[in-house]
Amino acid sequence: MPEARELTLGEAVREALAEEMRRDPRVFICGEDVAEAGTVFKVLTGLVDEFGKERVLDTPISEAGFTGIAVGAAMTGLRPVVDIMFGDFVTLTMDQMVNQAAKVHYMSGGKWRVPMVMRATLGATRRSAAQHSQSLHAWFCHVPGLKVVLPSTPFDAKGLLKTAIRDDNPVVFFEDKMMYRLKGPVPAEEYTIPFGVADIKRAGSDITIVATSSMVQVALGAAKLLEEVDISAEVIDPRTVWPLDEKTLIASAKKTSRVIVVDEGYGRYGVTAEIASVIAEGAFYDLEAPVKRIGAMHVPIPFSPPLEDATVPTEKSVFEAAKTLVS
Amino acid sequence: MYFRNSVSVPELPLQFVYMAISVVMPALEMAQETGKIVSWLKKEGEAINKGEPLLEVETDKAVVEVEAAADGVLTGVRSHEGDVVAVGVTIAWIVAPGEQPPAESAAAAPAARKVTAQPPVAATAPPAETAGAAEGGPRISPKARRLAKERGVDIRRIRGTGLDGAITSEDVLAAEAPAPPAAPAPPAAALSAIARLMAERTTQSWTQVPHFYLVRDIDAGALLQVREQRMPAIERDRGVKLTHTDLLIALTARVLKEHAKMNASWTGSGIQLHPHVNISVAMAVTDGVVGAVIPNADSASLADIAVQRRDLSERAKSGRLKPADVTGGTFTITNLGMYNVDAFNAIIAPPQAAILAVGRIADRVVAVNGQPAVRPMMTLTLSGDHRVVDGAQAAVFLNDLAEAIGAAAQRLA
Repeated sequence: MPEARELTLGEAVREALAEEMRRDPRVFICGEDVAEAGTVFKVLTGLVDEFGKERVLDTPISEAGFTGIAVGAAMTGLRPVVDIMFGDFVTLTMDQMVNQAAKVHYMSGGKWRVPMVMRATLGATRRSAAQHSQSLHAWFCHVPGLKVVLPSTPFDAKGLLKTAIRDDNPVVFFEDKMMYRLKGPVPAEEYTIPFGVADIKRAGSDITIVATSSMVQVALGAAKLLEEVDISAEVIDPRTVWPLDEKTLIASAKKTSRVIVVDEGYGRYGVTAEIASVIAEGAFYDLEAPVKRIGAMHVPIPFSPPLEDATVPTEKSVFEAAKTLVS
Repeated sequence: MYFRNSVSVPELPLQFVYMAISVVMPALEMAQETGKIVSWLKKEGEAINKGEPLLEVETDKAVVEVEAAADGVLTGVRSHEGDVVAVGVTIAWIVAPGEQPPAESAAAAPAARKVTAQPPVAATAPPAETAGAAEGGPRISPKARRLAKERGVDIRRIRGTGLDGAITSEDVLAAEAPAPPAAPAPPAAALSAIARLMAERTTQSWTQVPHFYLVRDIDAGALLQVREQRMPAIERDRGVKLTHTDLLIALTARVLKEHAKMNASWTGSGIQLHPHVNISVAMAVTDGVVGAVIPNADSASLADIAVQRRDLSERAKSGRLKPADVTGGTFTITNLGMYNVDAFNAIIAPPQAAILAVGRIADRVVAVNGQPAVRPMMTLTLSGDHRVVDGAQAAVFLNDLAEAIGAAAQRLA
């Protein structure tokens, strides 16, 4: 048995990319500051040395342009991985992603495919202000033809990113920029994680907390606090919000009868709304209370640190909400 | 109404002119879902005349005789003694001699809600549900609602402990009666309508109505005197013995006329004052207690009250009270004096706001003008619904009632 190895989430992402680029010469990376700089978050450090500037391609500041390049490259047989430095900039890529990438396979009658991955970041509390702190993943969930992945651990990040690169459909892969230094076990041997399979991060019986991305860590912290007051919380990470593992979510809701959904995106029309609705429809007659949603406060993310901190869900706020529901 | 086809079709032979008439389980009260057939008073194939008693049906409140609605022959009896049948379902047919009842397909739609037979006396509206059930019912989780339905638990009797007072599944399970033993489960099914109703109503009242109690010892000397004075004439003229209860009914009703809030109901959102004073008298029957009503007791004469009270009492004993006999009461008097009870606290019968519990009249030593004296004393305990009436208001009523009892001769003159 190999010894348990620990990587940061950033290292796990880099390893997944490196392994897939070795495995498949069609895989390449493009984006801003991805080569020598290794991105502003230093996630890609070293990749340009191994794979060269043609496969780790620095682009001008032109998200719409290089995303379009990636769509075209994917249609003609390559497997691009686009790097969007701050998830806020996905707004510039929307035509390429929504009207091109998501539609081409359908409109060509299956003749063309767009096997591309867009990696982007989400998450607040980095003191990056209103245009660099948003979590806009819900936008992509709304579009048929796109898959959306939200890893919460180094292990999941590596396995899911490898699956994303091998998928023949456009996949949007959101990494919480505050989690790049999060450490966790990642086995050295090859593995992938299928899409549409939720992971029960912690088993419990009194309440289900469905959480995504870094909110999984928040939920696990809240579950620990709840344990101290004799409330047994189950924490479920859908891992991919589309496709969504409705079965596991509903089964857990039926088991515990009380559910909180936590996601760092905005609550209104957001991921929490969709998941809460799936649970309400699937487990209505087993619920003791309305499904509680916790998302980012519906405001532009403030620059002021105390104000910024107040806009995101915390262990304490999830703990309090859970206590109220179980009371 | 019974369905009867046109008789103006001359070409048809006689047996087709008189179409068969269905006998259906009647809805004798607005809230009635089912009725239990106590007995058929006519047999299959027996000739019957319109208006004759046809069968006896037990509702939640009483046993009622259902009369035949037409002349003919009873046939096609498909529900039998002991059967519980949904209201509106055909249980038999009345046909012309020689005629066959219609095929099964012609059976009335199950549980069709229509008042079909003429009950002996028109039933008045049933008492309204008390608070909690108002405005769409109590707050309850979807899971709890499903469980309650599956297990037959009445959610109106449950106090919720969940979010915002919602009833949770734990509350439902806690409220559920302990599961009957797996082996023989006899008594549950054997519970009569009266016993079941008493259990439901007292639980509902005890858990939902905020009771308070006022106790008053009263010198019953004047009451005894009036009884002595008035009894011979009433017995001679009306053939009924005057009781202390009759006197208390008359006096209480007259005092209630001056205390509107004692003769009132909690509606769930407010207080409803009743224009008439209808005194319910608690009467023991085989399986429990019923409140038989003496309507407009404030204006009824003592003799009329005595006659009505005895009639109700006799019919209660034989289980022949009609729905109208037990509905519409606005205030209850319950007397356990005949069992030598000195005093007791009674449970209010919703939606009424109060009940007067009467103890025995017994000689006791009391202070009269600073001296010990032996007087015939009686203890009255008034239970009030605090949502309708408060202690001070009830105390004034009780004081006025005590004065009326002390001046019984004048008040009942």
